Amino acid sequence: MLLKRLLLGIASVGLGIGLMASSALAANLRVLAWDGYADADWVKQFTAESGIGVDVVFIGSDDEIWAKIKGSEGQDFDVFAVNTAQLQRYIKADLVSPIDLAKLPNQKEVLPRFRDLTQVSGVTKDGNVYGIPFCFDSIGLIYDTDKVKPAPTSMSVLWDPAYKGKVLAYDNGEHNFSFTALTLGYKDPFNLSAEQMAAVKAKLVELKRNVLSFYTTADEAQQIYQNNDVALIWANYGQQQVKALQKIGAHVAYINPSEGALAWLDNWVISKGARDKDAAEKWINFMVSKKVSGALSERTGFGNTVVESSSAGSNDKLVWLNNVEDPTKRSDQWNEIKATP
Amino acid sequence: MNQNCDLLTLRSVSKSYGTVPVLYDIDLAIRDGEFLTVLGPSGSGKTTVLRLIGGLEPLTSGEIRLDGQDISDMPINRRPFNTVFQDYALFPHLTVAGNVGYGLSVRHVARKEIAERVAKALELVQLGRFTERFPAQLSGGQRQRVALARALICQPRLVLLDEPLAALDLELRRQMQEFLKSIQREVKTTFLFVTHDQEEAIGMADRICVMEAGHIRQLGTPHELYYKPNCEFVARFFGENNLVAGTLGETRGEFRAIETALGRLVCSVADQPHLKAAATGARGFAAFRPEALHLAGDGDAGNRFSGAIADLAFAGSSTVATITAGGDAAQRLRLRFPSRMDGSVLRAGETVALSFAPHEGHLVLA
Amino acid sequence: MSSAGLGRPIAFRWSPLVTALAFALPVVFVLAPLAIFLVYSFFSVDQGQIVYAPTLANYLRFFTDPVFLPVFWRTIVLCLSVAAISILLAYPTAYFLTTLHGRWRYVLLMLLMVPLLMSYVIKIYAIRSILGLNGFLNKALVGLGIIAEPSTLFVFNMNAILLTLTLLLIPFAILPIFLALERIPQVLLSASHDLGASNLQTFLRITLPLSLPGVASAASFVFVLAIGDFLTPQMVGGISGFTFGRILYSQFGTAFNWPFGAALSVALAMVVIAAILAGERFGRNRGASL
Repeated sequence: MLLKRLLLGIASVGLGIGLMASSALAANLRVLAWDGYADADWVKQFTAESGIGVDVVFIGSDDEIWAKIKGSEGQDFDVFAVNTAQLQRYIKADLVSPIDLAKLPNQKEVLPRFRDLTQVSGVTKDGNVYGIPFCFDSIGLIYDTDKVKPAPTSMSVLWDPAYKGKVLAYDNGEHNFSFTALTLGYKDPFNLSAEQMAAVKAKLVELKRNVLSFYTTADEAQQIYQNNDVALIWANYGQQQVKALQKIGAHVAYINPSEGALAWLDNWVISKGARDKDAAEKWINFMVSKKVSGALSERTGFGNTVVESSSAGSNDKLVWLNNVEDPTKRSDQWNEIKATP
Repeated sequence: MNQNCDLLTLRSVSKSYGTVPVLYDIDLAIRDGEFLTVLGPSGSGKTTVLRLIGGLEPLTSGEIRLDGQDISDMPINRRPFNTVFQDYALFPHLTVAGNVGYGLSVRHVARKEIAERVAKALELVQLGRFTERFPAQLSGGQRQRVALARALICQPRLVLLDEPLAALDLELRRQMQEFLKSIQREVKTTFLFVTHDQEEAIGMADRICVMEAGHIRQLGTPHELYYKPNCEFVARFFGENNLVAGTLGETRGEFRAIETALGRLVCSVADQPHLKAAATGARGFAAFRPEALHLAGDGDAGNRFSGAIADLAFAGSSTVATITAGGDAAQRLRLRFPSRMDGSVLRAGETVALSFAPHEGHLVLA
Repeated sequence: MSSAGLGRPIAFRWSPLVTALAFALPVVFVLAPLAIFLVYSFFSVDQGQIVYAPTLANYLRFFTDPVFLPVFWRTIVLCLSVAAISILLAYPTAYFLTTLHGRWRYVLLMLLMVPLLMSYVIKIYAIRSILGLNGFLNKALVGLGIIAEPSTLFVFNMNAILLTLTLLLIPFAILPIFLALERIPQVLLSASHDLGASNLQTFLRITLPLSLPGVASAASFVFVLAIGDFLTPQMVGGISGFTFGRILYSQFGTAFNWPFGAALSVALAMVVIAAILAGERFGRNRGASL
């Protein structure tokens, strides 16, 4: 008896796995997203409303998205989130499909600055829309209110010798070139001439001498802040980062610098290899609904495109991150800067 | 140096490992220049004696004196003794020359002198050509000789040898026995040689110290031990022997009677006052060697008894007969006689008259 | 009996497969990836796309660009230093272990190996918070009155890198040295003493040379692991934390220049292979006479 029941149990489990596998193969929408962009309750609701199953894979870096999408030539995912700076690279490599705005009724309800997509640098090409803005945040400056007085207004404070050894910078050549270019007053921080590049490089070598350490994750920066004498943090993770620090009792504040704050803007895009473009568009439309977008800002602290949020004041100057003139060159130059003794 | 002068003396030396005693109150005097073998079965404490002398282990009680000076607490590296270890313990990363010269080199002897003395020492052990070899490139016998040269080069007062031939095969062992003995004669250094092999002991030693269960049973020349064992253990351990139990009877001159299951036997007690003095009726053994026993002739009146031949074993030059004698209190005896080409005169199963000469018999107290 | 009869033909049938598998594993997981890297190192990149035309440009760049060689040498010196420090600390530890008797020896050895079971990144985080200006080390030193105010001696600099890598990798140094020391027969030490050597002489002339194979493998372990570590220097070294591993990482991670990254990897692999061969050769030469 027992044996029979056991065998039956094994058989039904096997059958279950088989069914799950086959249903996953058949219809599920494959989403590649940052943590916080596809919370379980949203996915559940989307599946309930549309009848479309969803498999979500979370990623941790831009490079990981590129590796995953480029690695499979877009065949492994239907829809994914990518920022404006990265998107052109995908368009150029023919890894994404144009999006039919007619299929996205919710996109008509977004905030004014996101309504005309041709005004959002980087999401369109040749009249086609490739990305639907979803989530943004500025890359500002976190400062310790006890140590930095008066309150800074510009990134130039990072070079102040008074804070030598008390600056946390971010380990990324591309962004560091861009924000330094803004600090130097260059118009287009994403397309630097050779002279501009050399000037920025020299300025960054100077910055390096003021820096305690280069960080890569928000947790890491927070840990360094807790255990060391840190006054200024170049806040790659913006709102999230400052809120986490305040939560542990740090006396810190956040500013978007007057010369313009770099800001990232993540967009939903449809992969070239999407099996069901319709389902992908339904997903994007669902994501830019008031309900999901509002919840996104509440949960993550990032700005969204539908409901007003505290991410950036209406007077703050935001400079959307864009594709830079030569990422490899910036990376190499950044290596040279770091290798300079 | 005079061979009769004591080099090293052990007085009431005891040794225990934790609560387990391994040596009880040992007294031993080693004479200068002699080849002394400590012989005993495993567990007898013979290796412990060597380790205590060498300084590899501390005494539990008693003292060790060198030239009358107490050296019990002298650290191992200060004692003027060197050891040849059982598995040679050659340093694998040093050449033959490096190994042999080690003792001089740690004493900061000049390089040139080391080279000369190493060459000489290797000459002595006939390994002159192997200076630059590593131990792994040598045969067992060669390693043995390197170990010996290494121990001799510092001109120790005493060389301690811990079963150094145990790992060699029989033929090589025989050669090495002769070799060791000849070297010892040549360098005139005192050798303390530990072994469990009584044949090895007889072949090399000036004197033998027989140990059993942590006690010294007898110390004497091989001849003394062979013909005049002072106890049952030595009598049985040392070569083949016939022991017949009985009670001591009267003494007549250099002979004394013993009443046994084989009847009254008479044995020599010459030069052994303790046997002459032993009380009549004391328990003891008549001891006689298998080669002393023979078929009784007409002239053999004393020590005559009959026995049945149980077995005959041909052993080359001699044949050994196993004999049952003594009726109800059956004794098994051995009789050794020269083999003959045309076969044995004895037949298994037949009963024969046997005898041994009183001067070839010996008494052992129980 | 019948099962034994069945067993043999089955074993016979499977054995070539097992043999093939035994050869396939290293080929698939070690040689093939290395070969792929080698091949890639002769390609180039244009506009983010790999150009599959053989070229020596990557190697030329490695040897001529003012960035790579200096960082390469600096990294090698750093890792040699870590290996040296690890051995200086691990040798006395391992030696102490061998002086213990019975169970304690292995209990303590196991305890020293426990950190290997923990996540590498978590260990770096932990060490970094201990080393910080407001970290445990400084608090303890100030608290004990040893220093008046927190020191920056181990805060985001070369000292921090050396200390952290040493802490992380020292188990890999202790183990081979311990094993080498444990393998030395006690009777050799007795023989040395017996021949008149003092404890120090015995250590210097017998124990030390006989444990050198262990020291050689320890050094090559630590060196190879340190040179492959692209996280630790970056995380604890501050602006001094730029190592060759970091450059390599940037070629794959940010520059997306796989062919050049592959060429740099080949250069690093050469050093690693040389270190392993050196360690192994030294270990075997000395070990052969044991």
